[in-house]
Amino acid sequence: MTGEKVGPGRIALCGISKRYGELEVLRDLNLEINEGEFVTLIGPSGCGKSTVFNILAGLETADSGHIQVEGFPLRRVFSYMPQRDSLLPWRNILDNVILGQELQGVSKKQARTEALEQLAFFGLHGFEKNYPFELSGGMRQRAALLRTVLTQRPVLLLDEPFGALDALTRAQLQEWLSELKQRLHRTILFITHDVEEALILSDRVYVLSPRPAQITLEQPVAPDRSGSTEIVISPRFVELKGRLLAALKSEGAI
Amino acid sequence: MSRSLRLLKQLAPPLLLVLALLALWQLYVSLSGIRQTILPGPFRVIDALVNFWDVISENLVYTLFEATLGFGIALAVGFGFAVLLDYSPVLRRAVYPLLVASQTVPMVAIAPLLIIWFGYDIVPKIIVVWLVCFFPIVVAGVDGLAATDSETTRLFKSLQASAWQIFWKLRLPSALPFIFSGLRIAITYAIGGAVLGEYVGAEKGLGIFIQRSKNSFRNDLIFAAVLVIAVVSIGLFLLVTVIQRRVMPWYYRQETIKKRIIK
Repeated sequence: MTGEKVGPGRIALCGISKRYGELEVLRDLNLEINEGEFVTLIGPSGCGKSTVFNILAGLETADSGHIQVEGFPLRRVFSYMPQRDSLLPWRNILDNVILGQELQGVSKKQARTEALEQLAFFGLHGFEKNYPFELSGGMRQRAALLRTVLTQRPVLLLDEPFGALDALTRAQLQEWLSELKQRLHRTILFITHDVEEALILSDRVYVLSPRPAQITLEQPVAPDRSGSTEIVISPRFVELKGRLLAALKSEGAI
Repeated sequence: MSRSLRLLKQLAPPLLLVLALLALWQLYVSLSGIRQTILPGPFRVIDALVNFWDVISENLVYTLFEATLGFGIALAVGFGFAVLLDYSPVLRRAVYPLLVASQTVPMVAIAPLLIIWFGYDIVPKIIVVWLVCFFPIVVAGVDGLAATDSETTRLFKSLQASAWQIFWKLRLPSALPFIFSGLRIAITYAIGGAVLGEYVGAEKGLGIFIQRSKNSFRNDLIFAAVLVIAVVSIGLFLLVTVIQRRVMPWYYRQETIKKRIIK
């Protein structure tokens, strides 16, 4: 990790440190994400993964270090999706997914037209007039993801988007997200503590240590992932899984 | 189940109970031989209400005007206060105990003082109504605004929403169920507050009507006025509920779904 020079469309976190009083959460963290890449941060609960996202999303400021982004003003780079869907219960699905654009001053009419085109791929066609509580958990997560995508920023920050879903829905959404990734051509930074999920989705995985978070392993994942159901038993997949688990274990995370 | 049948199922129990209590009341008055000047029976009260409707309705209009005006002022000032207290935690800590303490002061002690300070006209009545309605509205507003989901607030901030957008598009809508709960409590206090304000001194209104009826031993007229106050208060309560349904249709759809799941 060089971290100092950033090529076109790349993002680099250089020497990010953060502490809350006595609690040191991040110490001299360096990360790089290339344009169009799907990068996953994996680590034990409470290791500071979400703090990294908060700093990127502009919700918190780092004590030291800096973020370099090529070609975009920093405030307009990241589109953040919280762990829970955070859909507004008083808005129907259509008006929920346009929130990001609406807050940025895009006219509601234009935002709605754009959103309607995307609804089908997100499995929400016919549900635009429904309220969030009328949808299943998986649909709500997809709606939240559509809101994140429609915000029109180059990098998506997805913080354990499937954490609260049942295993079956989760597997379906993972497959669907791989498809979405091909379609979108956006950079995605993903948080999970599910090793298989990380391997199914990512181009590259960073394993983080417990607090203060540092990178213990940077693992590129072979881009050949035709179907997620078959690959989980392939020797390559099992080997990578073992390597990630070992890295987590070595830090006392498991 | 059809809509009217469901409505009937909802309304039947309270209606039957009221009818039973009225029957019991009439039965007691008829059988005990108590004088109807001391305790008039329901029929006597209805009789009085019909005979004195012109006087009662005239006073009612006056009382209703005071109550709605006082309520309106309490709503405007109370909501403004709630926003202010929500905005400044220091102010909230400073004002909140005072607000609670103000509720322990008996209104019967304050109302006569207001007459001394502001005279017999409408002003002291509106102040009384304002005082009784203010508290539930402020508390509901402050609690409602504070109950805004913090993760959703962070989402708004990550989208660079302005303070105004966060208030208008997030905090206010999510506080609405709380605010309406406060309004429904406040509106039931409003008429009672106006009547109390009139009772200690007024020229017109149901409060002074009740006092005069008492002084001329017309207990049936007291009951008639009380009946009118109760019916109008319930009517106002329902009106607020109807407005609430228009303002937040999503909330009611959510509630019915929850109920179905529990069943």
